[in-house]
Amino acid sequence: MLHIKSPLAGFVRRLADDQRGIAAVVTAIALVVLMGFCGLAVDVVMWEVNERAMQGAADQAALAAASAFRSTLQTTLNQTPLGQSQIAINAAYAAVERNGYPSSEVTVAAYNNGSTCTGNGCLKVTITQQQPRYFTAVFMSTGPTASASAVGSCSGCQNGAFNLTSNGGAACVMALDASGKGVVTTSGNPTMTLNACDLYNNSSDTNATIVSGGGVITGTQSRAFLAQPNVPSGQIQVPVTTNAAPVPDPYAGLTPPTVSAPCQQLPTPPTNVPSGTYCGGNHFQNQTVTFANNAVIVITGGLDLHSGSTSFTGTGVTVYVVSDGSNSQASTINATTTMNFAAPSSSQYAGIALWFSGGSPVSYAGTNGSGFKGAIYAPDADMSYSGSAGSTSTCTRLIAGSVSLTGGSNATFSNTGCPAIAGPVRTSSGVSGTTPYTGSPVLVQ
Amino acid sequence: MLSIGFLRRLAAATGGASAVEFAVITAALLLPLTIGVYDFGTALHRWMEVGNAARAGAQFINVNGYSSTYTTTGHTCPNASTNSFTCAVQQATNLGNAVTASVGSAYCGCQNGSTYTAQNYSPPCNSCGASITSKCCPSPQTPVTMAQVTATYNYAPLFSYFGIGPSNGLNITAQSTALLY
Repeated sequence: MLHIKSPLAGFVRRLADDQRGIAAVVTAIALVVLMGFCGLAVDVVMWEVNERAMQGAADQAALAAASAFRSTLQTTLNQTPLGQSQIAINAAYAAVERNGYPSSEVTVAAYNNGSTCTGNGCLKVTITQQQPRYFTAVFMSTGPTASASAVGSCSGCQNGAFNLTSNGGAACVMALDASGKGVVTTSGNPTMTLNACDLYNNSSDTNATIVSGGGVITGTQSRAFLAQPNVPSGQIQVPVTTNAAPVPDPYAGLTPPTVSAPCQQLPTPPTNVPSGTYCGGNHFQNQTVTFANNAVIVITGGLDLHSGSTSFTGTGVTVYVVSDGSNSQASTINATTTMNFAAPSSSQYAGIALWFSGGSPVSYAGTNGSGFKGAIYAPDADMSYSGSAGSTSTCTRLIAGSVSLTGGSNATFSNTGCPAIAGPVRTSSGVSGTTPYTGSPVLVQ
Repeated sequence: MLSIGFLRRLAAATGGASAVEFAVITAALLLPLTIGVYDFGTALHRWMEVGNAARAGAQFINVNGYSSTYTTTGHTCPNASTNSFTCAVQQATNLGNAVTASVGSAYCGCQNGSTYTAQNYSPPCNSCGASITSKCCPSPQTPVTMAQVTATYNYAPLFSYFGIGPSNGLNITAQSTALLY
């Protein structure tokens, strides 16, 4: 019989036979497995927390985009759909990035699903992020990828509409350019009279409304809504609302008349002038022009009526003046010009008598005769206005980028007889800022 | 009856030794582990809830507008009819008014697609134009106005962890940034 006598062998045998402390050993082995599961659980919970935060950020970005889109409806009509609106896309990126997700982890794209989202009317924000490993780093080479997405839409969002009220409410003088110089008097003693209609000045510059020297803005049942924060000094004799929401260009979505070639010759004498494109506005200078009924007159190169006595007469007429934005194509309507034609009341150009496009400066000193009816519309131009009204003024609107009132004229504006124009909703008191748009941002999914 | 013989037999007995060992090890190791798992899990859950509260506050000011005076401190939802910010935050969690949220100052940034440029002036945040040439976003950037909502909650752990744990509870905070319109 083999007897092993070495002390080590004896120890090993005793150890093998010994049953004391077995629970500690079993627990120790079990703990390793247990700790592994705990580590996995901790990591999975952290991923869940991260995914929840990602979903929250995506939701917020989608809502922010829809809110940004809605707020642009204050100043822009018929704009691009939400999914393609650069302001909405920028807002979505800003929201996710400010909440801690780098742009490399974010995609923002227009979204259509055929039912609630059509015509790029929705915006989808997707955040995709590789998850960090804490305890799972022991047995995972890369963390799992989590992603969260949200689709935002603007439910029923649209521009409001001007409500004509006894306190005014509809615009008859608008300075549209939010960063333009506004409505200012530069020289002379001009008087701007608002006849039961409102002045809107979108420029938020603190000097955007200057009534200096002998200038006066006056009127009955009229108000001035100014985007600027301060009440301007000077002779403003109508109630002033500051910090007003900027108003949209009421004709922003309008397709302009087609400029066709070749140029048409002005008939001699210039009576019953038909629709068409007439090149060089100075052909009309010092002429007594009668337009055909409902004519759409396109004039290229600016409207130059700087000398002599010109008169325009007609019914249902829109004169569309094209310029290239340069001073050489500026339009000049001198003080001996008489505008005595009426804009159409129902066609697509309803309410627009004189449309200056292209942004070249416009200097308007003409007299609006009793037959003049419609809007002088120069959305991109800095207009110098010293025009005057005749004895009565029906439906005379001035809508420009910005307006400099000059001279000693008495410019009267009124909405009486004008076709309605789109714009923000105003309350019955005429005060702005309640519902400058309609609809609400929603999450589609 | 406790006789000397019974105690002597008890001391010499080896039966049930494993159960005794298990009890001792459980008390020393598994119980703190279990309580730790509970505390850790609960704290994480609270963290998610605090995050929800911050996001709810941010969404509220995103949709309803900004005021630097928004705070839930000292308010309880149904009694704060004039302060619906409080309701938005408190209804986002089950923590009631134990979670508090406040809004930081609004600030400006310029965003162009995915590129953000921080600005160091206060709102209003404008696009540059003919009359606004400074403190504005040049085209094609668009101005964004933002404010950060911070939600905080104090979680008191069940166990002190032998003095290693936080003595005054664990302060859980979460931030969410809202765009303002």
